Parts: sequence; structure tokens; C-alpha cells
Amino acid sequence: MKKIIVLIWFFFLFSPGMNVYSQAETAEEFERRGVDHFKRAFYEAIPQKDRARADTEYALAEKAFQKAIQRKPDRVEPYLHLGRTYFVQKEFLKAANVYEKALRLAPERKEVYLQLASALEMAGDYKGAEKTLKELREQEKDGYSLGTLDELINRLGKRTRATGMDNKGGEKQP
Amino acid sequence: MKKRFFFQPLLISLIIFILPLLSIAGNPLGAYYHWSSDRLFWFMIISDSHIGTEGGQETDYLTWAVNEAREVIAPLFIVNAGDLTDSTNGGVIPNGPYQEEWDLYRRILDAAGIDATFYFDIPGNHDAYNDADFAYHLANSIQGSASGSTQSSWVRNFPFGSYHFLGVCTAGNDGAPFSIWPGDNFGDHAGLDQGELAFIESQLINHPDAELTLIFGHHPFYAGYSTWTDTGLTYGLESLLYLIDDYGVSQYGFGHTHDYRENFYYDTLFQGVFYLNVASLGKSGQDHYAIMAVDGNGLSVVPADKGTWPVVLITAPVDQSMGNQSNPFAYEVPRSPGNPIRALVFDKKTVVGVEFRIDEGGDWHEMEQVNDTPVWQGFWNASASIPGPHVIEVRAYGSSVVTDRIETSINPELCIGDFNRDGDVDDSDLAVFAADFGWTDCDTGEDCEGDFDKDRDLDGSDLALFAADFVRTDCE
Repeated sequence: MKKIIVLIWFFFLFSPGMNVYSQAETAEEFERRGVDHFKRAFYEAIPQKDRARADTEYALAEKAFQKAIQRKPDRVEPYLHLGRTYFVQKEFLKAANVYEKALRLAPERKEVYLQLASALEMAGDYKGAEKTLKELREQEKDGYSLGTLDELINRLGKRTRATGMDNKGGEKQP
Repeated sequence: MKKRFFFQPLLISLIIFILPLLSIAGNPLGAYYHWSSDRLFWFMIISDSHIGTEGGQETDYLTWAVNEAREVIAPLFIVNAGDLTDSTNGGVIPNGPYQEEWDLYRRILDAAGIDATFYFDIPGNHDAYNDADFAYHLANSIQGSASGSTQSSWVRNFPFGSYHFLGVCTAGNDGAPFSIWPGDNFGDHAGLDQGELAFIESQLINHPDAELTLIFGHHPFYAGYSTWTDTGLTYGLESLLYLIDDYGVSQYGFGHTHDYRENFYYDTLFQGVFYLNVASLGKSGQDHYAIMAVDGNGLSVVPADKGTWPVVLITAPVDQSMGNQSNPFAYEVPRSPGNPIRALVFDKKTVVGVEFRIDEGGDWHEMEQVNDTPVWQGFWNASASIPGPHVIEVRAYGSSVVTDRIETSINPELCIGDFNRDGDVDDSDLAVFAADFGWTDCDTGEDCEGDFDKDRDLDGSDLALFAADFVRTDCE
């Protein structure tokens, strides 16, 4: 009797119907799970100074977002979540890499330029950050936004000049 | 059953129309010219400390404010009106929150022994980016970690009255990231939601006996107050203005713009509200903090630069022109031979002298320090002064020489013997005068209210002045 129950359970678990259902939901489900892990790390564990728990939750969030991307590589949101997860852990180059992918998928998402510029700036690549904002500036038509962008570009330009670092990765020019 | 039908609408009408009138929480028009310094207190306002800005002044200046400034000024409390942290962690774009910034913020305050009974920090937009639940503010700010709330309400009680203060959370509650697009509510989505407004109203209702009510938030009411990049409240403003009007709030103080400006805000308000914009401690080049005083229920404020002493603030008479605008809450002064002029003088070195003069061209008159406090007082013989506007300057000699200046106005119709300020000089005022009559020790700290000519006794000359006003019923 026990063997029969186990067989039925396996049948349901691996049946084509169940698989189709999982495939349809998995990317969003993974994304949602990733967001939950991220929130537990960033909004609970870190302010409570529980670094170990935060690391565990971040790792789970990363895995979940990567799974979501595997399931549906054309969806932008999991890239943004993954980029943010790397960013808050100070893995800025990884974050920039993910944001670049997100931009290739959705070049109309202006806020992603800001996120990419942030990640590049934090990685020490001021010139890359400046270039990203200049690309955004080319798309921008609103006068207010242009004013703010100019200010940000100007500040990044100053940093580039002040540090003598104007190549990717923040290395000094010879 | 019929009775219920009759009484229910009556009860509802009572709740809607009568109770709000009974529960007015403050009276901005209640300022009065008091003869002594025993109805005076003061506090510090800082804003936009922006801890985490790269290469800035913010860490040094906050450290200075809660140590040296606090020791010299001895404020009743300190308000920090938001943007406690920068949310950039040294970068250009605010993309936090960063626990490192909050840790530094707390280290500075904890090292100075700051606690929630003394320091009232409220969130700004930089403390709210990407943090819809204010998790970082609640875990790390002085008030948030003590109360679990983003808003604060506190009271200071004195023998001469109770004063109510509110710190309100104008930062957006959606955790939106920093934005540069106007269509996306440029900068941040500031506002007060129903829960926040309900808290504010409940606190106003709970303090109907307050002499004055002062509110502090982070944002100006409207965007573009100082520069086009400033954001303002995008929701809840109308309700806040109703509360300010209904409950007689005297002041709305805020930061955010990094500029200092005194103003009076009217718009739809019946009597207006003092609208005080405090500059940034962490990022502004001047006016890094402000000292506000309440003297006889009159508000006075002065901005000051970090490390510059002395700071001088005239507290009585109340300035009739604040921010180059007419102060609707100011009083006039009588044509008395002993109008008190009172000022606070703060200096880390000894203040060697304080003096005042009238109308900019007159002689300087010495003022005296009141009982080793920062309060200095002198008396202006205005008995021969012409009615109308006059300028008062107070100059202090300490680490440097600093002058404060206010405008006042003489009204000869004012009665100097109306001690209880009920609009007449009658038997009740006579009783006050008679109780002190004959005293010759008014310079020993006794509050001789009837010493009109300030010759330190209550004698015949004072009686003559009192008698001149006696039985007047037209005191303004």
C-alpha cells in the first residue's frame, strides 16, 4: 500500500501537467521569493545588525533571481532585483554587469541608467558612470531632469579629473 | 425612541462643531511683553545633517552641534528636521539606505550622550529612499529606535504654561528611489498620509492646554520654495493646513532646501503660521543651525554659523519684522520709562559686555546679565519716544562682537499697569501693585512687576505711573 502511495505521489510530482504549471509560474515565483529574501536581509537583518542572517538571505535572494532569469531571460525585473542585491553587498562590478544586461533588454527604462551609473561610480569607474549619464542625457527632453543630470555629470567629471582615473575599473592612467 | 432621534443629531453637531473649538491647542496671538526673564526658554534646530556625504563637513558639524554647541547654548532640546543621513555613502546618487551611515550617525550621538528625551530626529527624503517602512530610521534614529514611530510629540511644562511640539514625517511612504523626473514626482514623493495626519490631530487634541504649538517636518509645503529642485508635500497638505488653522499652530519649521529663510505662510490660513526654513548643518556654507526662543509666548529665532561666537538673539520685545515680513503675532510696547529689552547671548568664552541702543543712531546702554544665565536685560526709557516704529539693536562683546537687530513699535494707548492683561487697570492690578509697593530690593532677583521706571524699587514715582492708567478700560 505504501509503495502505491509513493508511486502516485511521484506520478503527480513529475506529471507533464504539473511541469507545465511549474514552468509557467516559476520565474515569477522565484522572483517573488527572491524579493522576500532580499527584504529579510536588507530591511530586517542589516538594521538589526545580524550580518550572518543577512548573508544567508542575500545568497538565497541571488539564487532565486538567477533562477528567475534562467526561466525567463527576457524579463527585466529579476535583473534589476539581482543588480540591487549585488549593489547592497558592495559587489558593484557584478551589479553593473547585471544592470547593463537589463539596459540591453529595456533601453527605454531611464531609471536603469541611474542604477548602472551608481554601480559604476561605486566601483570607482567614474568615467563609465559619467558616460552612462551622458547616454541618458541624450534621451532626456525634460529641462528639469537635464539640469539635474548636468549637475550629476559635472560632479562625476570632477571626480574623474581629481582621481586621474578615467578608464574602466578605476585604474590610474599611465 | 423619539428622544434618541432628537439627541443623536444634536450630539453629532456637538462633536463636529463644538469640540474642535473647545480643543484649540495653542494661540499664536498670545504673545505678551513680560517684565522679567522668568517666562523664557530656548532650543536648537538643526536639519539636513546628511551623514555619509563624501568629503563633506557633515560628520564634524554634527559632532560639534551635539557637543560644543549643546554645552554653550544649553538648549531645552534639539530638533533635527530630517535627512539625517545622505543615502549616498560617499557617492553622487542617493541609492541607500546604508547601515554604515546610520552607524556613524548613532556613534556621534551616542558618544555625546544624546537620548530620546532631548533629541528629536525626524526622517527626510534621504532617509526614506528605497525604504517604504522606514526600517533604517526606526532601527537607528534616536526617536525611531526609542518609540518605534517616525513621528514624535513632546511637551515642555513650566509654571507659566505648557508648550507642545510635534515632529512629523513628511518623507514619502512608498520607498520610491531617488528620481530626476518631474513626471515621477521629481526627487521624492513627500506627503502626509491618513495615518500620519491622524497621529498629528490626535496629539493636537490631547494638548488643548498648550500655550503654543510648534510643528517640525522636513519638506516645505510646496515644491520650488527655494530652488526648482526642492520638492514639497504632494499629498496631505490641505489636511495639514486645516489642522494648523483649527488648532492654532504657531510655527511650521522645516529643512530640505539647504537655505535659511524666515517667512509667514498664509494661503488659506485664517491667521497664518510662522514658516521657518532651516539650512543644512551638513551641506550649507552658512546658517548651519538656528536657536529659537519663546519669551512671553513670543517666538524669536536666529540662524548661526558653526563655531562662530557669540550668538545674540533678542527675545523681548518680539521682532515685528521677521524675514522682512510683518510679524502678525508680535505685540506693541508701551511708552513706559522702563521697557525691558532682553537678549540671549551664547559664547564659549566669557561675554564681557552687552549693550543696546534705539533707532541705530542713539547712545549704547549697558545691559546686565541675569543670574549667571545667558540672558541679558536692559531697560529702555521710552517715556519720551514718539509713537510708532523703532529699531532695537543689541551688541555683545565676547569671542567677537556681534549685533542682533529687531523692529518694534510704541503704542501710547497701551497700559503699563495691566498686569493680568485683561484689558483694563482695575482693582486686581492694584492688588498686584500694592503687594510689592515699598520694596527696595528689586535688584536681588525679586520680580517687581510694578517697578515701571526700573530704579529697583516700588516707590512714589511708580505709583504716579500706575495712577495715570488706573481705571482705564481701553487697554489694547
